[in-house]
Amino acid sequence: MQRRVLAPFLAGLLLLGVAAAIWFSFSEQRQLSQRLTLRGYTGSENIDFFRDQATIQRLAELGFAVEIRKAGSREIASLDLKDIDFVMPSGAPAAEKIRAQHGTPAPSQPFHSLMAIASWRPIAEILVKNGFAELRDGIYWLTHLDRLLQAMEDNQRWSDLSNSQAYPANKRLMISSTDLRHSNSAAMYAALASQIWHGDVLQSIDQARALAPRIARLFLGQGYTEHSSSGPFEDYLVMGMGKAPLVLIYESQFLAEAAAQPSRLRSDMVLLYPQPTLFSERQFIPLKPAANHLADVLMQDQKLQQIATQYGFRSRDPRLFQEYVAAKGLRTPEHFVDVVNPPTFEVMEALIDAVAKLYH
Amino acid sequence: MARLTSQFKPIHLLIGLVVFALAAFLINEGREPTQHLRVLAGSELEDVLPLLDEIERETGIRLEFDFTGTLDGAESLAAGAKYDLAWFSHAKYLNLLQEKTGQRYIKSSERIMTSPVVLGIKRSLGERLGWCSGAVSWRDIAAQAATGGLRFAMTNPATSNSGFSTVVAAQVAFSGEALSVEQVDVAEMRQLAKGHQLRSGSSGWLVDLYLRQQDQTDGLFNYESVLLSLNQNPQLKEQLCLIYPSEGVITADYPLLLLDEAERVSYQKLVDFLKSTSIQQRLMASGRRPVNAQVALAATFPNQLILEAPFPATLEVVDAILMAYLDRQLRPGFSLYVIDTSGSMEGEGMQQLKTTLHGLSGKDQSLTGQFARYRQGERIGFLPFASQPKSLSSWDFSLNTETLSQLASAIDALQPKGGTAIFDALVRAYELAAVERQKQGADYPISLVLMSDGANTSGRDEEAFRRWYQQHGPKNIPVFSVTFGQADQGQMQRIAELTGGRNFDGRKHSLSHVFKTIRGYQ
Repeated sequence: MQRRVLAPFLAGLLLLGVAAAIWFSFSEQRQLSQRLTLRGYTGSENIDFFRDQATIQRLAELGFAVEIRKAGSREIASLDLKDIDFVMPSGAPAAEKIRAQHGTPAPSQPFHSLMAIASWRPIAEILVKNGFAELRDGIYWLTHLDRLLQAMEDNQRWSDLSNSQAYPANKRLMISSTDLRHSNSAAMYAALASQIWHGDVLQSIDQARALAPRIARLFLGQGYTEHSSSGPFEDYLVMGMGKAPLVLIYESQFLAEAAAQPSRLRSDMVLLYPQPTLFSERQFIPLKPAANHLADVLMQDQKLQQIATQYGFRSRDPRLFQEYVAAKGLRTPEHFVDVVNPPTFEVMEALIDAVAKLYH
Repeated sequence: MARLTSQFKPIHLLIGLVVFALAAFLINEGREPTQHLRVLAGSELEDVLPLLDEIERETGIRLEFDFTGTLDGAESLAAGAKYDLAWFSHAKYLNLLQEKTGQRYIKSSERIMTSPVVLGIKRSLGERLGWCSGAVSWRDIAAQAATGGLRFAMTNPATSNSGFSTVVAAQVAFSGEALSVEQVDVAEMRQLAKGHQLRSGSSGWLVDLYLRQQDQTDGLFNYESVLLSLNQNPQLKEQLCLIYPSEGVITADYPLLLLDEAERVSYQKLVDFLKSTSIQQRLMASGRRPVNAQVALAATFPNQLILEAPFPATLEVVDAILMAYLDRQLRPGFSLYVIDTSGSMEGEGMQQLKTTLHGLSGKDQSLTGQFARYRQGERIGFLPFASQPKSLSSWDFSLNTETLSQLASAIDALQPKGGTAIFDALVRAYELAAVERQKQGADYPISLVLMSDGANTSGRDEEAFRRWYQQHGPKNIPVFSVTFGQADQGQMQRIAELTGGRNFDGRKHSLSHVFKTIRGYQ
């Protein structure tokens, strides 16, 4: 008797389940098709924000599905952008390059970060002992970037510095960065060095060309460099102090890793803040009108701004960033007095072109 | 049972069938069919093959490997070989090639494990020099090699990554990081090259060679992973200390490369699996360092701080370093080609042989061809044979027109006719080699390349040759045998084994490919 009822009952249940699954899947499809799907390119340092489930979900609630691909900020301009709705390079010069080549509308800056140097406690201590850096309120400040650059120009080796037993390397002092020809963070490094050596922001193409040989040595001396900002930071995290004693990164990369679960940061990894430093805004550029609305959402939506702080970005409302940093027990400077601007697009391009010629 | 049968109604059968069909359908939906991905991989990755079943079980992806050398691989990818993924000990050469050609082969790159290329030196010598405990620079190593106090084994830098990494790291240390093409041939490189006594085309075979000749050798350059496992090898007579030069070494970082954008999802799945803690633990057991920070480095790794040398920024510089080492720094030796010109070589076989020999004289301008070319000052000998050995022609190779045209006419003059006296030819070759060794000294590098397309038909037989070799054969002159056409594979294999050489199959690959591969061993 039991069996007689059970068999058809089970079969019915199964059929019901299947029907329900089909219906749900169908309605999900319908919802999806109502969403606006946008394709974009961004620098590697922003990719995790877009791939975060919380971002995807929030964007979905707001009616967007975003397909994001990775490309060096300075590479984006030369890619095939026919089927692409938006791009989000880092840094104003990269954005201007895209605008100049593709005639796009003005970018918006939903969040920003600043240039910092990922390093190691033993290295930071050597820099302090040799008068390049200072430790103030638990934060390492690279107060004498000018002297550090000078030591690099003088071909000093780590073993030439005093009290350098903790890093017994016969290697030259060098800050690792990306490839200047392809990536924004390297361009920011060049901008910073040019500010120090020129004593001011480079104003003309002639000034840029005059400085190119010195700038070139900072990059050629590194040997092979990666195209994208995630490369040197990966070296730092994976290959360690022997490969990467000083690595130019965005502050956001370090903070995001500090908060990641599990985090790859170890207790001897520290962040150095150069003085002066440069801000680097994330530049959202709509290529198709459909992406204009996404720009507004990224700028104004509290939730998305908050998610961005989890990736170490400084939000438009500084309180969001500070709350996040405090909650994670991280130490970051709140105010920067010594912030410089990168040269204009034309001057920056002239500098990069002149350096690129020196590669061969 | 009986009760059940008595209550059976057709409707139950129908319901049962529907349930069964649905269940089967659902189960099938849940499990995706196995996906096959083609991987072009460096031969040093052969030891991951045991992981393939597990990879398939956990990810649903079956990897199908084709193994090749680093430059070989770069060349075939540049020529448009279709693979979904590539996996080499490093991707720096390929990256520079991309930069130069403007093509993008690599869509994504994630390193999976690491192993620095370092020097393993016999402990007694290392301790005497104070190298096993203190800091050692590349200059120290070069100075020691220059005096004859450090005889080492190293692979050919153009065919194998461990030799490549050694030469590049040393050159960067000597010339400074921002080196240009003009700076590559420095005195210290020549000093270092003086110590380079044992040669091999692959990192694995180098270990065998070192074990065979460990009494006359002081150490070898190889992956840390290979040296750590060599130190466990019962055939090793003296333990090696591992030396990590203070200007930096070059570390193999084994990136898994995505070539076909369409396979991105599977690629990510694979990367995540390979970086998982359990697989990283297993890879660490092979002597490679993990990249997953959750996996603590085992105590068996001797050095916690690996100083990494910068890698040159352009392909021109890398190529110049390789060419300078092969052409100007490494001591040129005597390469004697013992060539079968019996009647059976007539036609296609002789044509292939001639093209191959012309190629090695400089006509092959492909990436691998350029580095396989005969080297400046190398003594090149041709000893053709048929029913008996013919006369030797030899030259000190140089790129001048006179030498090149003499070589070319000698190659063109090869005529297929007569029988096959393999062993008489080998004995003759060894006699010629012995004369050369007499003139040049005991450590003069000599190798024989034996190519034959048929079984021995005249002169002494294999057994007679074996007896002759054991009594009179000069030591450390290996025969690299090439099986071609109808040759007796077993016999060619045994000749290589007897003389400490290696057998290559010229029937599976083109003759030109095989001869270029052998150049890595000469």
